[in-house]
Amino acid sequence: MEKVVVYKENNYFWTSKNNYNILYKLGKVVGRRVIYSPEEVLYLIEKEKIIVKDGDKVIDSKMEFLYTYKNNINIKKFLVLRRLRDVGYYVDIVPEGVLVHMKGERWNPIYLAVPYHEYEIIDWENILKHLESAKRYKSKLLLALIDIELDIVFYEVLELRF
Amino acid sequence: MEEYIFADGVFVGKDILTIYEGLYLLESRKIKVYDKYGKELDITDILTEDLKKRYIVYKFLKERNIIFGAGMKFGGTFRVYENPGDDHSKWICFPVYKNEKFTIYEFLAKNRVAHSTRKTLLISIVDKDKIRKFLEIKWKKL
Repeated sequence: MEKVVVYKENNYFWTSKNNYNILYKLGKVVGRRVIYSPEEVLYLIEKEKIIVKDGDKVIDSKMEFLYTYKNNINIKKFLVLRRLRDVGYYVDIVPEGVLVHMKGERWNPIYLAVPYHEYEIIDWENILKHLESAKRYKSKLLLALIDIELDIVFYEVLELRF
Repeated sequence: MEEYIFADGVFVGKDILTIYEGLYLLESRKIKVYDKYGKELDITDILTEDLKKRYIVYKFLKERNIIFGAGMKFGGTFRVYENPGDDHSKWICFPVYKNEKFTIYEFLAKNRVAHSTRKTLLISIVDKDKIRKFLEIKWKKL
């Protein structure tokens, strides 16, 4: 199957809205375009669904994409996106993490997944900030913990009132 | 007013009071407490920074008549019941300070402890002498 072309323009990646469904309904539809985050583009390249055109340059390999946009890609978010998308969840990359929608529904956010590597150190104040971020998305907080084999375990964090 | 001696982590007098019971009665000015040498103590003489966060949670639970007990056998600070009359506690509670750092390994270990005792992890976040939030944490299959 012929690969879809995704364009890099200014600071974002985009393709025609007509490609939305065949590209796993990733990204945000804005007018006649679908806008992608770098992590979403990385996923689509990995799935061999797209090539990226940045001016005259054509990128069709994961490694080349990673080298070219290494400063823009959040690998932790990418790993969570990949893990969840591969089991059927619709997801969106947001500044605070990965927004996870109810399975099978494109827009019904249920979790804000915030990724951490197993060797990271955090504090509870940050957890509280993540909780506030999740509330802004009308979602619950999910900590996505990535081990050294890139397996991910999820923990739901709920506020309890006594 | 009843008098107690604070020694080796307990209050000894007419009864033997646990650390939290004794602190609570002392703070409420229901008892007087002395050290082994006869010096009168107030709560600040006994409360360490680490003990303080646990005491704040103890006080919170007690004053709201939430049923709770020692959690040590289950690997935590307190075991907390959902309803009066429940045979088993629902949560295992760990008091923490808001700015307390932790590793992911410590976080997972707490979850494992709760899970292996068929309880849910409850983190009580303490900030400036108050409970800031209670967080219930559960493993989620996705």
